[in-house]
Amino acid sequence: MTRFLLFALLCWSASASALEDRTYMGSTCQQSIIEPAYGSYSWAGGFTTPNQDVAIALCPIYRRNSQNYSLFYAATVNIEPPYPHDQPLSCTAYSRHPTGSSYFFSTRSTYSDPTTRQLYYGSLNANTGWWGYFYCFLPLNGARIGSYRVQEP
Amino acid sequence: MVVLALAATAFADRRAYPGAACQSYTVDVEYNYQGRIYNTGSVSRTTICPVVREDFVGSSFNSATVYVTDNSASTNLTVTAYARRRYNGTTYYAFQSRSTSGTGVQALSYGTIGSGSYGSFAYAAYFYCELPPTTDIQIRGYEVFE
Repeated sequence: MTRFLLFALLCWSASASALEDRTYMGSTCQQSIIEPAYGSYSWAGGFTTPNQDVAIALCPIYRRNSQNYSLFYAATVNIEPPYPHDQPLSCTAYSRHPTGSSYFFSTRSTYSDPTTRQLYYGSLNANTGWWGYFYCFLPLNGARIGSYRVQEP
Repeated sequence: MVVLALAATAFADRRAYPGAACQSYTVDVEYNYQGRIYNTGSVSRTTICPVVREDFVGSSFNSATVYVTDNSASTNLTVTAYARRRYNGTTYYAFQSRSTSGTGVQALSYGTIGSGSYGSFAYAAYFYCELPPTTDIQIRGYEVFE
């Protein structure tokens, strides 16, 4: 009985520290600055640019375990159509120090691969207590951030 | 006992949120590329920074810290941590307030909230402030131990 209890507790402990895989709707994002345009949320739950204008979006990450040394081991920003490749949409993933100026970042753009509507990120470094977010430039063509997925260690 | 301690450690979440996770439904409030939030307008703006609870049992959080850059010599920022619950037509809540003092990057620290005489479960948690109309005061982010 004691062995069984210990085994059960170990399993529970392992599951409690399991990987975190979260998907956020684009409507979790915020408009970064008022000018040149004010972004809006679409009925489909995404963040978009009205009136065929550009916008900058900030998409926060609700980091679960800020004691890890990476913000995520993989992440994906899903861009929804329409999307012509001559007007690239780019997103930069940041991890930042809570009180200092240190940070890590990684930038991806649809310009590098016009056939895809997804921006893929590998592991991004971070330190204890740091937080993270995506900083995205949305082009003129009404492209929207449909969702973004973050896989934490 | 060791296993119990290990399990407890594994279950304690330490969450970090950028200021960009805060909300203020007005065009006066902006977010910059550093993930910070500040008020460019002429009047204070209500700002809410939500906490995403992993476990709905126990206190809303055991401790928390809100990080603020305050470069204003004349204005301070007060941030209040709330745990709030609606039950049988009554709203139960607990709160703790902290303020910046002086200038520079400051850490506002909070203790356990949303437990004890207020009950021990089903509390939503968030930080509330009236963000003053100056870009000298910026919410950098916040960290919560659940």
